[in-house]
Amino acid sequence: MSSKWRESLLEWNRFWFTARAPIQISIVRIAIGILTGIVFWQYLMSGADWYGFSGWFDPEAGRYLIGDGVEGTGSLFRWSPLYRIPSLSPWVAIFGLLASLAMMLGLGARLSPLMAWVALGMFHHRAPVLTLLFEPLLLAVLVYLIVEPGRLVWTIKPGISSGEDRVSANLSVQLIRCHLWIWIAFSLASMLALPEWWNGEAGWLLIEDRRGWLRLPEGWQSVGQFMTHWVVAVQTALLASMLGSSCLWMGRWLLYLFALSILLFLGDWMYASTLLAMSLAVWPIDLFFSKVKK
Amino acid sequence: MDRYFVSNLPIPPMSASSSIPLRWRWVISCLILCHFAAVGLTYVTNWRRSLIQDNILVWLQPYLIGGCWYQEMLPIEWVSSENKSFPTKVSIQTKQNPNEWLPVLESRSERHASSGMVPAKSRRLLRAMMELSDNEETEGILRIFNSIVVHVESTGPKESPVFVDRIRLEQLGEKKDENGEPQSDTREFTIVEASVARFENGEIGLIPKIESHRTVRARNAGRGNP
Repeated sequence: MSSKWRESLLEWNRFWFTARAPIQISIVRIAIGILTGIVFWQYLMSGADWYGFSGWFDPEAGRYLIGDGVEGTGSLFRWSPLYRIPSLSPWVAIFGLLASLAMMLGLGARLSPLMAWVALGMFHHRAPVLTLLFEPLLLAVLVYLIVEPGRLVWTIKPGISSGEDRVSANLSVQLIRCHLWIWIAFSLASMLALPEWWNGEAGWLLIEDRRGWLRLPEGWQSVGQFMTHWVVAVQTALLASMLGSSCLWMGRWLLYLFALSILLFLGDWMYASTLLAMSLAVWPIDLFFSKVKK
Repeated sequence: MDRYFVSNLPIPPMSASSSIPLRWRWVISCLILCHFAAVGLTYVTNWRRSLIQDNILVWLQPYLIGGCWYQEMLPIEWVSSENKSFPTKVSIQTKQNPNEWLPVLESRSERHASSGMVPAKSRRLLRAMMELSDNEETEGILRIFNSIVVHVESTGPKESPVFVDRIRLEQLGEKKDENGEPQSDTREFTIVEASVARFENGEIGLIPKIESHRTVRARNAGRGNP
């Protein structure tokens, strides 16, 4: 075996199978628990309005759009009970809300992210076409948290151990990190596949759509164009910084800028928050770590 | 792994060796590679797809769909294409106001937030309808029209029930030229319009304006005939 090949294998081994203190994944779990809690609260408030028997998107329309009964569409694997029992929606939301609370508090170990994933999966399978930007990310992180959810964190005080190092904690962190990188890479690639992101029109279209926080008067298209290029540049630099260890510090600020761009253009604070929560697997909260002694 | 952290503050160190047996490390490594290959493939096919990708995806459906990894029409990009980014709306004409089109879902409306609806979900629904229209899937749009009609009629005030007469999906072209006039190819236009037919048994059906020979039956709105 050549030395380069061997080095790569060792690097791979070190990347995935080194033990890590579970504190970092615990903080990710708390952040994701808060976000899933907000999502389930929203589903509790408006889920029936959307997915109920007489909702905006009733089960019949849902079944049609997943290609129910049509071969090759994979509708067989849509396991949501909300097609058959639409009135279950508030109960699923409550179930998810309790699971999120357990995640926040660090109760139930692997069971709490699993329960939250099942509940969120039910809503996702009920209407995949209505999936929002942050939902696939939350679903993915919940699966990675099942690998290692970390420990109870609220009770950790300065000077108290956060628990033994575990390989599963590292696996979980690295899975989230890789998923985040892939997501941003495909987000950028799908943008660059469209001429609007090259000629700068995309930003102006989004500003005109009034989805985000940014409002510009008529005739300020050039600012919109500049900001379009800005978003693309920030994402490119963010991806590059996540790959290189020497410029990783820059990535944190680039991610903040990316989250700001999301708020300005899309106004989707849940998407921005989910990215920030996932980024805790890449850039841990320093302040917290400074207080927790191994 | 310390090199991945940039902080000068103390970070919990990681052990140099792994406690997992070598055989298991190989198994986990293969699973990780397969997993990210499948996820990457899913994301790529939402962007561009080939026959080989399709076949692999169908084979992986139990894992990808069952595990919530497969995202049909994944909204990963912010702007899909220019025509889908134009504001759209669904309006209804009621028996009470036969000359007025009342908007019920608007991609640009900010009123949904205050009325308890999730505005992002309504935008996604409108965008799904635009995707269906691009694929000339009128039946899919009519199914969604059905559920909107039933929803509007069932949530209206009990003392003066709303009966929807017609429903339409419109695209609003507000792209202006140098003189501030709408460009000829981007004016407001109706994409799909349908009339609501009411049957004696209380059921309703939708008759598309363009293809009047096709009637899609809907459920009973629970109100009977007006």
